[in-house]
Amino acid sequence: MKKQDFVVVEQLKKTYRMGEVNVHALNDVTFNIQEGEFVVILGPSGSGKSTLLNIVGGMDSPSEGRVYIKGKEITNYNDKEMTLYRRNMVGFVFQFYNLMSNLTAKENVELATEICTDALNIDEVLDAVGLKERSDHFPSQLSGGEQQRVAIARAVAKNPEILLCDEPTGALDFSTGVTILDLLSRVNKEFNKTVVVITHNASIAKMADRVVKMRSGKVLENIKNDTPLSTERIEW
Amino acid sequence: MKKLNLRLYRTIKHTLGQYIAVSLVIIIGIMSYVGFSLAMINLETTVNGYYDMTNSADIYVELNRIPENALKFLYDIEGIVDIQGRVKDDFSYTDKRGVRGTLRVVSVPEDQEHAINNLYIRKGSFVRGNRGVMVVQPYAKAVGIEIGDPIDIQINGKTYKLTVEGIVSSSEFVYVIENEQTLLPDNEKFGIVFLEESFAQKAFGYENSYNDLLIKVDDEDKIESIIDALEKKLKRYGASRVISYKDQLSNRMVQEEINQGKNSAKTVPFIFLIVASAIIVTMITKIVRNDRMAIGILKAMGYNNAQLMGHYSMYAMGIGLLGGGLGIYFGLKVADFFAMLYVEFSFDIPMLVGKVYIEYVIAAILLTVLFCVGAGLFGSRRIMSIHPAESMRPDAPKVGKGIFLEKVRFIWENISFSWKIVMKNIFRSKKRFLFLVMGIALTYAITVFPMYQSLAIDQVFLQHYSTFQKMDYNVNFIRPMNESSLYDIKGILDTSEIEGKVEFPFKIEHRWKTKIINIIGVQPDTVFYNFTDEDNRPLSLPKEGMLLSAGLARILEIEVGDKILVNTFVPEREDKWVEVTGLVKQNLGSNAYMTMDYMQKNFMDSQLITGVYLDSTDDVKGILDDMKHVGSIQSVVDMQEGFKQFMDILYISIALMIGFAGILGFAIIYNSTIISINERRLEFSSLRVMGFSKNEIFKTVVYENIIMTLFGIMVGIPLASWMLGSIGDALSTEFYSLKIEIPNTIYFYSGIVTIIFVIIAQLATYERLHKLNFIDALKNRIT
Repeated sequence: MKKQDFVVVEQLKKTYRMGEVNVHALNDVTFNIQEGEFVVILGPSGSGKSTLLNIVGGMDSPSEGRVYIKGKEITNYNDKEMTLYRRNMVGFVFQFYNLMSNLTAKENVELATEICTDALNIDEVLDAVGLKERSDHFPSQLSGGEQQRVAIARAVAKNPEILLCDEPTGALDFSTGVTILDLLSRVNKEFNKTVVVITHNASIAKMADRVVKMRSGKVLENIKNDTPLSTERIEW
Repeated sequence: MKKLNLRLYRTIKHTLGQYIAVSLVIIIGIMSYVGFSLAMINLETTVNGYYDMTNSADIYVELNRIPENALKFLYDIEGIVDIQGRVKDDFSYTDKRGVRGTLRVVSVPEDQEHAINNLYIRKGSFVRGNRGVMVVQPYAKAVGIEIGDPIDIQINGKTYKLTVEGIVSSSEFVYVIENEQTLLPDNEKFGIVFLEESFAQKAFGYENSYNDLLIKVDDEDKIESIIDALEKKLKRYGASRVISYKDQLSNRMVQEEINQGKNSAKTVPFIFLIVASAIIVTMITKIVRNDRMAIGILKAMGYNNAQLMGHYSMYAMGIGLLGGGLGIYFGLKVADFFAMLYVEFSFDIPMLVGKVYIEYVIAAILLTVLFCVGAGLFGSRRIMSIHPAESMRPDAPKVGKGIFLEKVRFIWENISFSWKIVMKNIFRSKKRFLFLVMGIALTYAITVFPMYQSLAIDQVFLQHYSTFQKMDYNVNFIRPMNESSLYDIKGILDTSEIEGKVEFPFKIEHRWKTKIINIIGVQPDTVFYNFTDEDNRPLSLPKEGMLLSAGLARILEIEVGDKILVNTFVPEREDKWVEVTGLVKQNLGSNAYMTMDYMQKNFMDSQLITGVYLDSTDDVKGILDDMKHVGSIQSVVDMQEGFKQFMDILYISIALMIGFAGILGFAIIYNSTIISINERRLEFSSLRVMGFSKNEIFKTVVYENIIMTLFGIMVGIPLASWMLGSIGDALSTEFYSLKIEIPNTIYFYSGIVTIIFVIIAQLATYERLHKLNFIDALKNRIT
């Protein structure tokens, strides 16, 4: 393991049962992510990328293999350690925002920060995502893009070391999607957070420092991109 | 406020109807616990305090006559510390309104300060001299007697013009009833008057002697042995009844009431609390299921199981706080009210201890916490198994299977598509079906109870006073008379039927159990009694032996064919073993029955009777009032009128109970339906997309509820029947038996009432269904 490796994934396998079917989601997945990188995990639907993200985020456990975060193996954490890991190290952004419908934008962010030890100033974060004026609105009063910005604010305000985003633009139109990607890029650079985005959209991969390509539960390629594009130049 | 709590607060606001409905059930549960418990403990403390204050007797003795100077020999019995003789007798009396009733005269000693059973003066003063009389308060109130009013009483043919000097209460007559058979007080027709001792002795012909004794002992544990000794010593004075204060009629009725109240405090609240926790468990289970993804998100944020279970349990805790807090508050209020009702209306007690026992309040809090938090934790237990990553994936579709009904082709092919959906919904959600069916069954059973209660009391009276006893009047003589006195009565009254009777108290023994009861001797072919066993098979009086009321037989563990020892109090008569030849269905009171000949021959003097039964349309009370030897005249019509007044009061409590059942039913059905609607938002939304109207969807919910109501009632009938059987056993006392035949109409009416509750709950859900935003339901994956 290299010193600068932030995430190390070793020979990860995951099989789960869905209804009456066994799903082999991951099959011997190995790759590294370095601190401060903007990583895109690219693959079609069913390639195992969400499962991989969930395991790295401490939301799921592998059938086999190991995951190290900053040199510590998280795959042998017990439930309590895993909860603390999620609480203090990881921020999640989901495709369908997953906001609590009966809490306002600001309250949704506060919900996440209340249990953290080193949270950022909520107003500043909401300002940074451009939602200062709409912080008292409930999710139903916000557009899809605005809801996703609340979700990003919620993840960032915890001041996590790594931001894991599961198809963050999947439910958004092109221009809103670009705004969200721009926001994630700023989070990566201005807040100096490691950001992992999973997507099936190959265009997004162009803005990444690293691209991990997956298919059928396997890593096909792990490419370091020395010339990432800015978000304005991305199209799909 | 923590954001998780804020979310909870808003969830509660969103489900306010359900929240209030289940809180109401908790309120009733806790209110009835605190109310019943405190009322009964305060009543018990009040009664005991009143007994202490009035130096109440430990042993009561009734006898023919004992000279004053013979009392000193009784002090030889170890443990007796005080004896007070008195004269006691009943006589007919026409009050100032012209209403004839019975007054019981009791003499009191001049030295009230040290007297046993000393009187509490409500108004006026203690009698001094020959012309004063004190009247017990319930009678004075009912008849309108005031201090200074004249009372003319006839004793032994002589009229005494007396003046009311005091209106009093007596700890011996807290519950003023004439005898075991009357059961309910009739204060307008029966009262107690107290005369100064020497005057009473003279008027009743008991100069320097008594016919009644009150005894104090130094140790309660000695009472039984002292009674045995007294029975032996007093046999020569014609002791007919030597009883402990525990068996004294008024005290027994008071204790029965307290015990029943205590039993209610132990059962009724728990029914409500169990139902409430079942609803809470279901509500939270469903909320957790619907919130599966939200829980996953919260876990992804770093919330742990304890925090999340605490969050969902807080929902239940809130119900507990609201229900428990208001329940305790109202419980304290109704406790005072209940106790006051007893003291003011049922009993005659001049005091009331209204203490709040903090232990009951603490117990109420613990009960609320136990039931609500327990239900909350139990309902939210699935949180522990929700895996954040799995929760993000949609639930795997349920394994689809055909339902049983589809195989019954002639039914399946002949029902409409809507009914097919209804049937599939019912049979595929078996747990939901079961919960609703059980809820409706319980509502039904609880609705049956108050109806049964009113019917039971009605039937107890009806059965006793028209089916079992068939006489219009029951006349008791002051002392046993020759059988010829029956002809005297026949001579002055136009009677359609008249029979002599012998009624006398005896102590009966079976194994180690004893009881003092009135044995009644009647003609072998009596027309005034209809003896049947508990299965309504006719019984006839044996030439030798006796019939015994079934309730008493149960208490004494006597079966047909057993021989029991009858201890006679009649001087120069020996105790005798008598065979029980049948057990009589007797809902009110407990007696033994023999033929008059057998009773006279073995236990009394032949040709003596103690009263008559008769049927007549004459003014029996008016005519017989002038006969010297006539003591009391009980009219069945009077009994029935008293009973009707009692029923009017009872109807209020029955209405209250039906109201409680309604709240319970509403809470169960309303909550279940709302839960079901919330659970099926996506299903309903899909139906809307397919073109179903809101009313059509509501119709399928209604159809489902109709089927579940029918099933609920079908399960409710045996449940109610079992409950009534247990309650009949639990509430039957030595004085009355509530084991009655339950007519089908009760089940029918309860069914109607349950259906009304279902309809009300259904209407409340109609609005909810109409307000449901189907498009939102389709779009939103998280609550």
